[in-house]
Amino acid sequence: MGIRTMALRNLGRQKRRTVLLGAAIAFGLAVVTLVNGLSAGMIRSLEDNLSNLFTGQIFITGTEKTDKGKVVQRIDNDAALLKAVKDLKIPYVYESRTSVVPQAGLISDTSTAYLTLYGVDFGPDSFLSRRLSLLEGTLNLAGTDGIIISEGAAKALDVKLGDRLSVQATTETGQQNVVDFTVRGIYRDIGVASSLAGAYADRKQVNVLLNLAPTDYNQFGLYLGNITQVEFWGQKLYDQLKAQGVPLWPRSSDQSQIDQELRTQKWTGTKFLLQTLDDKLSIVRALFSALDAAAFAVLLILYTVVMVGITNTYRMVVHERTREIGTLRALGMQAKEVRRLFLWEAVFLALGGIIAGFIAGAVLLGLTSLFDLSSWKAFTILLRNNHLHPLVDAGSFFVDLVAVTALTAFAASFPARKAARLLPAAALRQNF
Amino acid sequence: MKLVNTVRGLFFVLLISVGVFPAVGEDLSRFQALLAKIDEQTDFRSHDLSATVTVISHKPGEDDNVIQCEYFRRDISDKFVILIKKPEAQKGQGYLKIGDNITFYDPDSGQFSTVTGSSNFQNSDAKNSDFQDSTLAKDYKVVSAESYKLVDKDTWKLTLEATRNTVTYPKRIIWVEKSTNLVLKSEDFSLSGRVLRTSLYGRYIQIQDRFIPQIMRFEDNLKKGQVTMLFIQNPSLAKLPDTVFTRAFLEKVSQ
Repeated sequence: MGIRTMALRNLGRQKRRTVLLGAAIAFGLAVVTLVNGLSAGMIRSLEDNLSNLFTGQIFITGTEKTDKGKVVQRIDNDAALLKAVKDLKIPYVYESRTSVVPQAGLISDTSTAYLTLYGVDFGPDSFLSRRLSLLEGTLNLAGTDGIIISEGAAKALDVKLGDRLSVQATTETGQQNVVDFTVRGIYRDIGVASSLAGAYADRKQVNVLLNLAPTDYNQFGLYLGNITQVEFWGQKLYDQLKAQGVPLWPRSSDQSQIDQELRTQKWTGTKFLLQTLDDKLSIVRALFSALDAAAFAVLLILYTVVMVGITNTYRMVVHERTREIGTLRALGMQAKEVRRLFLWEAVFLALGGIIAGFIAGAVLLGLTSLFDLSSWKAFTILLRNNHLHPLVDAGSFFVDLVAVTALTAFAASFPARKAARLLPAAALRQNF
Repeated sequence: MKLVNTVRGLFFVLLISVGVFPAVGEDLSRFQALLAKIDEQTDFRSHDLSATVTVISHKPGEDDNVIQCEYFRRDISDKFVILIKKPEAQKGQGYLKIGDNITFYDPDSGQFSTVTGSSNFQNSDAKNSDFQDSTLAKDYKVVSAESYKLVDKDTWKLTLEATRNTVTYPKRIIWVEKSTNLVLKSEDFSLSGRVLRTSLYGRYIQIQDRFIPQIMRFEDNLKKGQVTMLFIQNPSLAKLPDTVFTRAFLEKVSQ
């Protein structure tokens, strides 16, 4: 009989003890699987939802400095950008040309709301027509003065379809401007991140507000579909543009650094800033990373307790099985084989607990995705079709598997070494 | 708040009792010179200016927001500093203008950020550019002028168009008192031609040969009932240290 088979049979001899120890390991892993799966799923849903709201996943904005030192946020020539996208054969689903107004004041008869206004191209194949969850109205605003706002904005402004809104903003050169729009669509609210929910109108009409030419825009966006590829293609596009000699801000630039350079550096023309959704979501991502770190810390504490339990249990096991060890040694089993026997028992125990914990965690994750959370409006941004969409990451499962197995084996190694050092004659003389 | 209501009432009477007199055809270049005169007698190029400024913003359905700040201006080098003293939540925040650049300091984050002259000051109807010296002659050309009776005051009603597309208001109409060459009222327009703001300037005081309005009233024409009153108190022409007009000053005094 091999060592591994003996180890498995030994585990079966003390079913209750094995189950309790395995359950402790399984509980820890189930908690971690649940937390990691929920946070990974929420991040993915957040990224997907914000890709839709921001009209893309890779963004390029243009800052033009004229020979008079005037700064204008505008892209009036995108030939170099399109060439880079084409040369790289980026597998994008949709490209967008958007005129973004960061702090547009939407003024109704009773109230004012400040939000981001996106001037987009509407049409049957438009990005928004496939992505925005409309509650009422139409998405076909091409060539009209229509505006689409969120459910929350409509409530705050006390407006309904057909009502007029004055939109106040600063033009690209710093002048005050006001243009009237008609509410033509209201989309489903995105809850806790509603401050990120913008309003959408025809780009030409928004360009009137910004005093831009009808074909100009200030943000070029690419939607890739596969969000895991965004950072890869974002960096490739940055490198390609750089290789083409296109003036670029460093990717890590924030607005204050750009402002500083605009003030101090003497140059004219357009400089582009490339950002990915990751850059825009760095704060949110940090929040979820903190959640993962907290889950990992809980796991460590939990497993420290479990490891102490395993060490003590195996000390007891070695004590109980001293005569058995003596018999095995007398029959010719080597000391290192005795040590391996106990270590394999610990490894099998850990593997059983890990697999059971992972299955329990996955089942719980599956159950969480069954609930319709449409009434959970505050967190709509973290949902997909009003459901949680948890993700199980095979990579992190593998890390957990290796780490927990190693820790369990480590915890059992001290009693195993003690068992291996027992002298056969002394072990056989042992009475309890 | 009684003072605010009284002043508000006075301005309301001023507004509704406006009398219109027939326009008088005038040589517009003369009025361009008038803009320069207005700028000249309200700037403080030979002195520094410091004062206490109180900004009271009224929005329908909300409590009045009262902000008190220290205001330092050096027109000769196109600089100003505004340091907020009250309320406690905004205490230590500050603005520094040097040339065309205005930066806002937030002591909570310790960060400076760029703001524009056309941005609203502390969510009121006053613009950041309202705190700088008057640059009417540089920013605008007079496109029409007429004689106008504003309550009991003889004024020139001048329609101005911006000479550059970086000026906050592309069009303004200003009422200038004939006897003093001081602006009493202005209407500020958007690029699309909508009246955005009606401003009234009152209680000018003379400091040496310069004038400064002690009360300004800004009414938002788009947001009904939204009004901001700005009071300038204790103006002084005493020389200020150069260090006042620096970022380090804002950082130091906010601690």
